[in-house]
Amino acid sequence: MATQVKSPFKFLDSYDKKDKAIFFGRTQETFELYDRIFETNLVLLYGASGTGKTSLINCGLGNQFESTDWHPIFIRRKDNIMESMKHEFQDHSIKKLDENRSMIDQVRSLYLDYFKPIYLIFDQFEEIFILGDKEEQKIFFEMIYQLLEEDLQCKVVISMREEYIAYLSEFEEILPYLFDNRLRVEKMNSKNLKDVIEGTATNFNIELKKTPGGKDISELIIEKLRDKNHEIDLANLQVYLDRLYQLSVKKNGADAPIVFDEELIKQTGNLEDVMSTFLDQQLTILEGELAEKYKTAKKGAPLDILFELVTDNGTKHAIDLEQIKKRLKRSKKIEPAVIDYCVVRFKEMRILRELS
Amino acid sequence: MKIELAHDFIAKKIYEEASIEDKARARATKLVHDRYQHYLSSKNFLLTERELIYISPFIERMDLMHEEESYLRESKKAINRAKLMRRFKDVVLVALFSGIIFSTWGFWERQRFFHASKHLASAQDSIHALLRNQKKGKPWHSMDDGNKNRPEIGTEPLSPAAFFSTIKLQGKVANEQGQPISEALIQIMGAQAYTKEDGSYELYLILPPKNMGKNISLNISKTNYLPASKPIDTDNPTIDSEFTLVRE
Repeated sequence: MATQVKSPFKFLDSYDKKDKAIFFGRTQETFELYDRIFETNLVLLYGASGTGKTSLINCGLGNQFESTDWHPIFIRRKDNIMESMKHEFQDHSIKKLDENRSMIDQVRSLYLDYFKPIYLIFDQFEEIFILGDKEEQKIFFEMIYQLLEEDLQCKVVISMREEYIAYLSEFEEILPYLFDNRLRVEKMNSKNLKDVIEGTATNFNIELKKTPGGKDISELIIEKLRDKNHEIDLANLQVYLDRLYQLSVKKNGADAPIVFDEELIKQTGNLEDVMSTFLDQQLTILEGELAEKYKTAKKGAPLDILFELVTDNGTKHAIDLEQIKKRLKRSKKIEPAVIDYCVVRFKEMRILRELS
Repeated sequence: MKIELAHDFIAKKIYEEASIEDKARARATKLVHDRYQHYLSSKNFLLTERELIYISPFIERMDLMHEEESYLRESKKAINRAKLMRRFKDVVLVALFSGIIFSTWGFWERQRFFHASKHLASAQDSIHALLRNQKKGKPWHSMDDGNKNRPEIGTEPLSPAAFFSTIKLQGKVANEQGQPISEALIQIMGAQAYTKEDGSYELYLILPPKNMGKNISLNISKTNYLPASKPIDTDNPTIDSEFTLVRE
């Protein structure tokens, strides 16, 4: 198995509360979100993929609150949003909840458990439109309306990709103030990106060596990663910083100080697409490992496994591992052992993760 | 254990790199899942024939729940039933259409037969009446007023030709100067003839019984001349008529 040094970067994971020290570039948005949620019971947070919405809530907003001020419950749709809510409520409850009781009663019970306002945070809410049906969507908004209309210590944050925001409009009839408090998370500007690169490097003791011409290395990175719209996706930045880290370790050794300089950046070559390059590299590595370890392993199996985790809209989709094994055994004749091996390696590569 | 990709960015790249066949299979699987969910809410939402055709190449490699497989089977059955019904309807329609055509044709033929029989019966009655009169020695034209001027047939047996009379029409056509006019058209009851070089004409007219004793016009026409006509006496077996045509 090829060894890879794990860089300290968040890579494709979102920042959580404990990452406060390395969370940069979103100070203004954090304050704005905090103010909005303080003033109202429902906030709609939206933005393009990779703008760091989840990090803004988990780390930014999470660190604004004192632990005595709020009790956040993060909810992902998984198979059904109402079922997920019930499970999360059960997990958070101190006094066992009666599942037959209404959601309102359950939230009230949770409040009484903690004596703190309950914050229901629906992250990656677009999943309800990608994977859910109209019935599920309608029930959800009706339930949220009832919750907000009750005199409960409960607030709701809905976070979603902006491409799906139009789907909400038909539920304005149920929840008339759905769009009243909305906050768009923009892509980071150059100054904030510079803060992210320099702040993160400082925290991880990475030296950013200026170019011989006196130019900041962070600016060089930003220039390299800009797309045709002159924007940079944070996910691409994280993957690129990880790549620089790997190259530095490879060049100077694991024990040597990590230095990002112009020469290292030149080594990364002409990057058309950071994420595609990264993915291709990882797939090539894994294909090689499989060929060595499983003689009968089918070529292209790693990509087939990953494809099972993608919706036909090209978005991610949480799925049970056993179901993937069953599907791929039938559709692609991939052995479960090969899938197990690939999943372990993909986790190490930080391409996929277990859904808690 | 549920797993998911670390980021939608990765998902997007994987989707881009996946083969067209895999994408089509994923879409087909999603179609079945979605339709099955609709089916659960309303039993009317079975897969259409077009949808089944679309998913059929992928069915073997789809991961479906038992309920979804049953749903597929039920959809196929419903489509087969519908096809059978359509065929049955087509057969019934063709049979119905053929029935209408044949009935109409049969009715029309029956009417024709009925009229022909009626005419035949009437003709037979006439024959019988004539035969009876012949035996009694009465002239046949005394049967009714319309036939009173018919020539006597005598004691010869009656033939069908005896019911029709043949009239010979002859004569000459000349201009005002008395010169003969050739190629003048002689018309009577649909029959026609042309004058010869010397202006003479000859025409035989077979007259049905119903026209016997009636006046019928004999018409003459020629280019550059005013047309002329003359009633003829159908009681005469030979009619000789001279015509003088006047120039226009």
